[in-house]
Amino acid sequence: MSFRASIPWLACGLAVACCLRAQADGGAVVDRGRYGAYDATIFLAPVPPSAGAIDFSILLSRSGEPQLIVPVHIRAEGPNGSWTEGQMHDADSGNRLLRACSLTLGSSGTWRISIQIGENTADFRSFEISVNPTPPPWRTSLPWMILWIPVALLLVAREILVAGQRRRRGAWDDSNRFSATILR
Amino acid sequence: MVGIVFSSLLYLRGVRGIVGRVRGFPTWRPKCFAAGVIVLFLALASPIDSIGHMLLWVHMVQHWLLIMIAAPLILLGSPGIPMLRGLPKVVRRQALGPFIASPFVRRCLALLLNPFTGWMAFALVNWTWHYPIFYGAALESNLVHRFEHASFLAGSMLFWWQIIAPWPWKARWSDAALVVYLLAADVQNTIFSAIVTFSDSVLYSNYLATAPALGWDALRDQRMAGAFMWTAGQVVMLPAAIFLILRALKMVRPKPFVARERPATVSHLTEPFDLLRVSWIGAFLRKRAARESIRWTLAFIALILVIDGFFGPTDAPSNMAGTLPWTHWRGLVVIALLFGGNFLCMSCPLMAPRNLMRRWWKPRFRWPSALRSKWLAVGLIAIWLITYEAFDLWSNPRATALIFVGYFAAILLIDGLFRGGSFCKWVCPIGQFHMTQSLVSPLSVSVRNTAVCATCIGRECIRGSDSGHAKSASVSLSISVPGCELELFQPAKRGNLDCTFCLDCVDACPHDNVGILTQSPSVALTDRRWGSSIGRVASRIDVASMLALLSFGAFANAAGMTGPWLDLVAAVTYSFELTSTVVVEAAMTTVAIIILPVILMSCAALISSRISRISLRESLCVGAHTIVPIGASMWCVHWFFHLATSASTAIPVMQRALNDVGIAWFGQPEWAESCCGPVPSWLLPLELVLLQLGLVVSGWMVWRGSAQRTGRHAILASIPWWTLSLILWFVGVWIVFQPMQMRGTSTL
Repeated sequence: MSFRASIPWLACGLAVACCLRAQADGGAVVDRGRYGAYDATIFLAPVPPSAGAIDFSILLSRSGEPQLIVPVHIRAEGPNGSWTEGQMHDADSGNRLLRACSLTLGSSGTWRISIQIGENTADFRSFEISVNPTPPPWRTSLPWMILWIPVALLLVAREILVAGQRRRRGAWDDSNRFSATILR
Repeated sequence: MVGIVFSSLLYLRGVRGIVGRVRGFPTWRPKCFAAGVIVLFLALASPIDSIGHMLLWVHMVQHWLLIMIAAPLILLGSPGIPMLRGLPKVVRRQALGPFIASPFVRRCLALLLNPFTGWMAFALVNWTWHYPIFYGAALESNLVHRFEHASFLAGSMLFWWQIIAPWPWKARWSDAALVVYLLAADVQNTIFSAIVTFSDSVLYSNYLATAPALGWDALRDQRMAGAFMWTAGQVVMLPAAIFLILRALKMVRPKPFVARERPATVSHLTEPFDLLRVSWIGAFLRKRAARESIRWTLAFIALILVIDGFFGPTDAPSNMAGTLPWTHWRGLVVIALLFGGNFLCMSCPLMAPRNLMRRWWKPRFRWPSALRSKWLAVGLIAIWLITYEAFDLWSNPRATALIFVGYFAAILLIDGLFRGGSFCKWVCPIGQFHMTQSLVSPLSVSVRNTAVCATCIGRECIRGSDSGHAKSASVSLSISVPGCELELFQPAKRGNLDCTFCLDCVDACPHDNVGILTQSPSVALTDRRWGSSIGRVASRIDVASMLALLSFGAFANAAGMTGPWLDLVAAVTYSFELTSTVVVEAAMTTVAIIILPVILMSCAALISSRISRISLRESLCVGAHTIVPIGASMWCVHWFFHLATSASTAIPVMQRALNDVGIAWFGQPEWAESCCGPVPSWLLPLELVLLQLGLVVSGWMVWRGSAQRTGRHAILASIPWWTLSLILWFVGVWIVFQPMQMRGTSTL
């Protein structure tokens, strides 16, 4: 393939790379409002949340200007006294406007999420989320476990078609100009 | 996303040879296709997708890109024929051929590609997915959202199909009728856009929370979305309608087709792929010295492992002999077997000193007739699998080093006494493993043109030659080129069994008629013809036993690292008041790889032979071949798991070894790299897909074997073997969901 002919494909690869680099994350909005002097929207993924790793993202602004430097601390307190906390970083977020942190919520039930923005204790707010029990691993992987069924059905359909075609007119590709052209 | 990349690769492969050389396929078509793919990625994998969750108008931009830009551009690339041609020949002919040629499928396609269907699909998708309930469901569920996008793309493709009529299909309606078709679609888009634009309430409540986060009022966002759909729809549809009107009035004519000078060629699609014809890889592999250099390199690495195994730390995770062979080498084995062929035997380090020895020492004896079967190898494989589990060989660098030394001693002794490749063919358990698993590999050493072999009288591929085609490979005429040491006569060779990929036959053939060609994976497993060196698969009970042992061994070996297995071992050891788990592990492995297979396979063979009225022996031999794919998939799953979770263990052990000999360039060992890396999220789906691939291929092999031998009762005769494959698949799935014992990570 000449260089000129490969230009569209190189452009295609470049676009794919750029898109992947710029791919954003987020999830469902769980809380939005004033955190002291800041406007913040908190996103959560996956939805609905289930016990295990949960990704929290925050979109932070002050007077309409995105705030990307102020430190954001997140703490989650569970129903049985357990707790976990972390710092939200833009490096953990695919979307450059957001900052994210992954917390492992070990059990199901109601968890209180507290977010502290910066050092000022007034810039604080908390809310509750309901966490479902972790589904058994086979259930979350079910789509990956049943792929063989349609493939098997297609193979059966193929066998039926081949048998019918043989019965009707011998080898299928010798008598069918269209198929023979494409499939030669 | 994987689908888009895969489709693009198919298109790229299929478009070669027809672009610019076939009427109806000028050079602008691939460019349109590439542009369509770029737009598709922009719509689905860029921040547009994420911001679309927060702002309605951005979501509408995404839909517009999918429906109005990506779909027509892709269709302008006429992807149908190139993508069909891009598929491997065997898939085109054997898998898709019957469907394409089927009148029923064609009737369905004709119905689908009807203008009324296309218009209705377009309108239905548009209205249904923008109904607030369905729209909200798509925003809340990723799966529904993906389905929404897929249906938008499919519906719009059906719609644009009528207008663009991708080559070689022709438009069903006249241009004048298509103008009406297009304008009718524009009208429904206008009505819908007007509803969204002039609504006084927010139709999609999800945006009430998200739009203000980005500084938008939800109602203003909705009006912006409606206005965008309105105008952007017109921007595409009206020029298309004007173009159709001009074409109807014959004011636009297609440019006359001028073919490129070279005639259309599709040789790369009709001839099988030959690795030896790939420029630099082929040239490298054809050089005997190059192949020998790989073996010497690996022999040198083996020597280092032996030294480290004997004299390094006794803790396996800190020793190269405790990590590299058991984690990295085995991972490379499955990758090579899955995507290539038996390149592991080709690069076997044992062959380096053995070949050196044979330069001066010619063996005198022929391998004894009583041992010319696979039974010795079967016994050694069983011992290997049992000792591996019982003595935890992977956790013992000394034992690993001792095995290396034993292997080198064995090949020098056996090949020093007996002619040919006696060790490889009759003894080596690892070689038998590679050869067996490479039965499902896509590459095989085979003849390029059987007609050339029909006229060959020298049979140099098996007898050897004084020169071979080596004239061009700069080998001196005085050097004798050996033929196949494993007694495989190329024209009658079936699959990769007994083939070490040494490529002696390639060197020896004076007609340059042997290559590393693509084969239909697994097809050799049901080949009824007589095969060189192995005879008929239906009569070799020793080969069948080896295949069954290695297939069941895959599951036993993988189960041995799961929590329930280890718990059971501990419970049995405790209940019998034993001081060591060795006996229990050995007994349980024996049950798993010998007793259970004998019971299960005998039952399946007995029932199948009764139904199909073939002998029990034949049923057993053929059935053993059919479970090779599911066994191979389990080996892949198991060993790839270790590679994926413990690949980084190579770094600290090598740093440690270098520090031990006074080389501190690479710093102190990063032991943190060696412990407890998280299991990547893609690993479990990959494992499940691999297991299913094995199941499907095994099931297909069962069917082919039964259909060849039993005719009318093929389905009934297949059921016992299908059941066995399903049982193995269930066991495999159970294993991958269990907590796994990591390799190379135990104590650090």
